[in-house]
Amino acid sequence: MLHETVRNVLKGVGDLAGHADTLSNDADLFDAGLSSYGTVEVMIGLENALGVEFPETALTRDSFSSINAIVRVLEGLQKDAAAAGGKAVDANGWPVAGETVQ
Amino acid sequence: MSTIELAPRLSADGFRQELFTRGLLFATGVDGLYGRSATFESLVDAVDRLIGRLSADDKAEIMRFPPIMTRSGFEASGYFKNMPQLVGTVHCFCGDDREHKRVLACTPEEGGWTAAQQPADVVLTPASCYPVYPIIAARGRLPEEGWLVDSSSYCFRREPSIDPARMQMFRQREQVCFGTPERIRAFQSHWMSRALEMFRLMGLPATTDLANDPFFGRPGLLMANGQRSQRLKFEILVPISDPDRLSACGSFNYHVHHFADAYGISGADGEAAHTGCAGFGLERVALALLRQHGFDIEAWPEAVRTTLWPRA
Repeated sequence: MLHETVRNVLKGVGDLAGHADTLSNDADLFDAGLSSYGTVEVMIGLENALGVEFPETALTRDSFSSINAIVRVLEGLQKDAAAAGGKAVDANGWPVAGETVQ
Repeated sequence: MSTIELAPRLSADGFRQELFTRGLLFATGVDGLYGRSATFESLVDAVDRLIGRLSADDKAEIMRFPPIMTRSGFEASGYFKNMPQLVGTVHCFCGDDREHKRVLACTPEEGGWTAAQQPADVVLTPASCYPVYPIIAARGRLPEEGWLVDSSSYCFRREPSIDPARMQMFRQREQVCFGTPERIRAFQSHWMSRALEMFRLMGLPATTDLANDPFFGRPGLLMANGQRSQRLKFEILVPISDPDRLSACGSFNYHVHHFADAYGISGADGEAAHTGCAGFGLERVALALLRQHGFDIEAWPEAVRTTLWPRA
């Protein structure tokens, strides 16, 4: 599921226009044309799509080097979020807020 | 190994006060904005000429610019995306008599006289290489061997500071190289060696180190990490205002194909060209010299004086 989300975000990044669909999960995104600006677009795209925030320690080139690498970072964030007390999760495995008192 | 003895400690504010007291710089009341004396200007000019002598054989095309550049060229560069905190824009009054009367009557809360200012088609130049790219792009494909430009301009960066080495407006002398990745890497490496030799000749205790631009915000952290991991930017560093925190007096940058994509600069083969630049902040080098050798230029070591003011 996360792989699909990541791929959808990559499809919207101009650097990878037209071939985000055909990239393998291990393909080097920088070799495929992803620029520094494009990396920022991927980060912001994923943060908007998943409602998460990449911690400063994850803001490295390695974190965005392939679809698998990005998914590994996101899975790490999921674990951290779960350990912080999240219970209910959405379709992507992200903790969702409990019901609010009206 | 450098055997140059460091100048005694002096705080940034203390150094600035000395520069004012001795009449080398003139205070304006705004941090980072200073008038220059004849002595200071002669020093900046000597540093500029030294760079020119050391690079004369490069046969670079000379381009000199005023301290503003086109807004379209600035927007294409992506500078506002990366470093919005440093940008200085130019705004102008474009109204008629009635509008003029209205803004003169505006209270400070209503925006005062600036209430009707509109962004102009020019902005303050952030780096002397920026006006070069649109000019090269407009010429079409590069020659087979690439191209080399020697640029210079006053530059603006909005970072007021009591540190005299951090001016809001300062001059840059910068070479800009266009060509293959191999040519740009060789250019970057050559300039780092040349700069170290230049600073040695000036008696300055310099080192070079990997660096990154001051990219803005969280995305900026990602950009900075990427820049470092690809070893795209190096600086030449000298103690000026703070012996514990060296000041960059020059930088040697490989932009990959960022500017070629931004401006449409093509190599001889029609592919996006690679670019790099190597530049010096002239006032910073002048301040490093004053800091290291003292405020009395006549008393500087003869070897340093001969380097800066060679006898004909």
